Amino acid sequence: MSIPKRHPVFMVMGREAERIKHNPAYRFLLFLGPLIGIFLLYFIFRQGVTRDLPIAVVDQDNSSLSIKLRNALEASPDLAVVASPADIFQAREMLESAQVDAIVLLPSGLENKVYREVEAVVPAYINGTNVLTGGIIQRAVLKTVGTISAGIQLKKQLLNEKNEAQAMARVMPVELRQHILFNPYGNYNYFLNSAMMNIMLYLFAFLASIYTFGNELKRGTGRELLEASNSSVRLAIVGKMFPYTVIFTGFAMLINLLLYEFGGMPINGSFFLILFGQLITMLTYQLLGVWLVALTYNLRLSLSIASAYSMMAVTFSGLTFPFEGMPLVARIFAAFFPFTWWEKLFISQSLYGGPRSDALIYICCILIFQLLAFTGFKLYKRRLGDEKYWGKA
Amino acid sequence: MMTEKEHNPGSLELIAIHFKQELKEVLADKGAMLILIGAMIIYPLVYSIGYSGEVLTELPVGLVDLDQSSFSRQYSRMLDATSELDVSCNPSSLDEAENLFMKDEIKGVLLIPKGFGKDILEGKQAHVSVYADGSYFLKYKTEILASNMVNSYFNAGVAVQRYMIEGKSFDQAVVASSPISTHTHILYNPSASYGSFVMPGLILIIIQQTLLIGIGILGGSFSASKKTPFLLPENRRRREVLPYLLGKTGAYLLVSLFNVALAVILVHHWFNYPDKGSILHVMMLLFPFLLAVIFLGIALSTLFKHRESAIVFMVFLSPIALFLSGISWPVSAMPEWLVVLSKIFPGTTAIPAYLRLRTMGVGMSDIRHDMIALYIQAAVYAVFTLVYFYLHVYADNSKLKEESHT
Repeated sequence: MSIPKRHPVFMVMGREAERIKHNPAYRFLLFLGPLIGIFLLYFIFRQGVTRDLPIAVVDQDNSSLSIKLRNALEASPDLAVVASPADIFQAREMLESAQVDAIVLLPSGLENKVYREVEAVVPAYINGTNVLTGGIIQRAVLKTVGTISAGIQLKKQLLNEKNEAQAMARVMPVELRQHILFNPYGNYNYFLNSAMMNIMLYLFAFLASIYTFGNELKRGTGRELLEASNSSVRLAIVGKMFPYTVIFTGFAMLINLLLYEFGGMPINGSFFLILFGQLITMLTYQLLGVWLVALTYNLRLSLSIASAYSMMAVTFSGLTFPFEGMPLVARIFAAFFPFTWWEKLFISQSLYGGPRSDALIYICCILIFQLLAFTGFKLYKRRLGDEKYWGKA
Repeated sequence: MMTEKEHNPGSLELIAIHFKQELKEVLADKGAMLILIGAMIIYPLVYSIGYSGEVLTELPVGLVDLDQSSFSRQYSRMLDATSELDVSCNPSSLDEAENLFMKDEIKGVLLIPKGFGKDILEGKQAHVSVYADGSYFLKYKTEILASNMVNSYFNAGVAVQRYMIEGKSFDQAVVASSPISTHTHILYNPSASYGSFVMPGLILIIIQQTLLIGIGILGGSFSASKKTPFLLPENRRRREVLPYLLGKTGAYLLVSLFNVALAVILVHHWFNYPDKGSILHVMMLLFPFLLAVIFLGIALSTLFKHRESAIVFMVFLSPIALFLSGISWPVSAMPEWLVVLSKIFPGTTAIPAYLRLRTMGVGMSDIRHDMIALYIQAAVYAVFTLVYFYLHVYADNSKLKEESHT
């Protein structure tokens, strides 16, 4: 033929493009899957702050003070008084059937006690099954009742002929000023969302890589692949990976767009480092895919291991439950996930605005995983050429 | 294959044959074993170990004390005395504290400004600043709650002393300094531990997802790479569809029972997760849940042409199913259409009911509606699968007829 022979890398790429065109599973891994995953997560977390958690208020006092307390609870942005059961038993039923997350009891004689200067207690029963919502309700109830209580004290102090500043100092000798760092909206959804969207990206990069490299073994097309790459396994891997790397880079940009542009997530460090780290992590997962396939020469087993490995990464990234609370074994275990290092890089650069030198350390840790993956190249070549390893599943 | 035609097995016999056949396939496939049994051993254990710390204690914080008075030292000692915080160092300035924070040596910072003690003595309002890391929810919550608690106690101490100076008795002074006090009772998970919160629901999600993927891995019954699962000749296959489905379902129920015994009973016991419901009630709830999951799995598996596709199509839904079930992110914060869509997974209905049963210890009558919903769901998925199987057999039959005509 008169067509000049193309570089082997392009031959492999062309071959890969054909394969993608003919198998719907590749298309799912490359387009539909990541798209569905990323957007579902985006919608799950879009609303962000949880507001208006349902509570029941049992008002046994029916005084102007108890009504004031009830209204204050209703006005709290975190709470919504959805029911006013007549007694505590009815309220308990509502709690047990999950209609409300907490019960605040305003006992009879509440106002009277306050006037007589006898200790008045407002008990609150909070469903602690969900630590997150339980914590929010606890904080909101303490704050609301505390404010009303301070108001009563303040009034008394003012009646005792003190000026407002003196009275305030009397009611609250030390004021605690709370500063939430690195989270301007007091909003936890960023962190979950950013971690989950990125793990989705890495998961698909990992699975797609295993799928395409594993299929060569499963279908016994290895020799054909080596032929296209001029029997260089490195060129074969580069050529096969390239289309995936390009498309997944697009998804990485989509995630960043959703997080930073639409989600309002801050970038206090360098966006370049974040993007660089993201791409390095993605490449690492792709290369680990090759390594896993070379090691097990079993497509289904590799996919199973890969899914387990990526899903566990979230738990051990320290995001949901911080390292400080983990036992030593778990902390050591956590180091064996590239995602752990990525998450550190991400929080350091996006939120803390931490030093660049830290970011480079994290990137180097991720690169160590790549080194490991490179050891699998030769093995993969052997597997490609030897019929013994084909069609295993 | 000729031997099967020699005798005519009854329906029960067919169920038994398919049951054995499916179990054999599970045991013969490494990937399926890993997902259906291996994952159930590894996941709950590994996750539970990860969360076994349960609560954060002695979080190291830096206290910048610019006042150096007896009051500020008392405040510092009170912070250090909490189980949540550990005042591990006293940086001389906020800048130094920031450096230590960036080096990850301290997790939070408190600042007592100059004049703190003097203000208190003069009856002016003093203040303390707390800087908490908002990027990790648990660290943030721990530091804020602990410093709030210390501040309230410190304030109460100062206020009570002042009232006593004015001539009130101690008891009167306590009441005067806090006319209304709140007693919060955290029910069902008093230590607010993370493991007890997230693991019980997570275990059900793991059971659901491993079943869906495992069933998918073992292959659509009519996938290209497998020979037909039916034993009877084509013209009598209609009779075999129901026994086939029941046999398959039985096999997965058996595998699930093993997983339930391990994850729902043993892991719960080892890690002391809340267990207020009776095990009989738990089983009564899990039965329709497992049925619904297995039928959904069989229905989905018919969609995959290649067996490995099941992993590719299903794995990414695992974290999404977790969030949609509302265990870690409240359902009230999600858009309505997603909530409706999430009902496709039996776990969305089963997990809240399961948590109420097990963690809160409610009675069976409180989860009646959820159980009915799960049975309906199981029935719907079973009917879908059966209809699909019948159509398939019918199509095969008519193809056969056409072939015999030509």
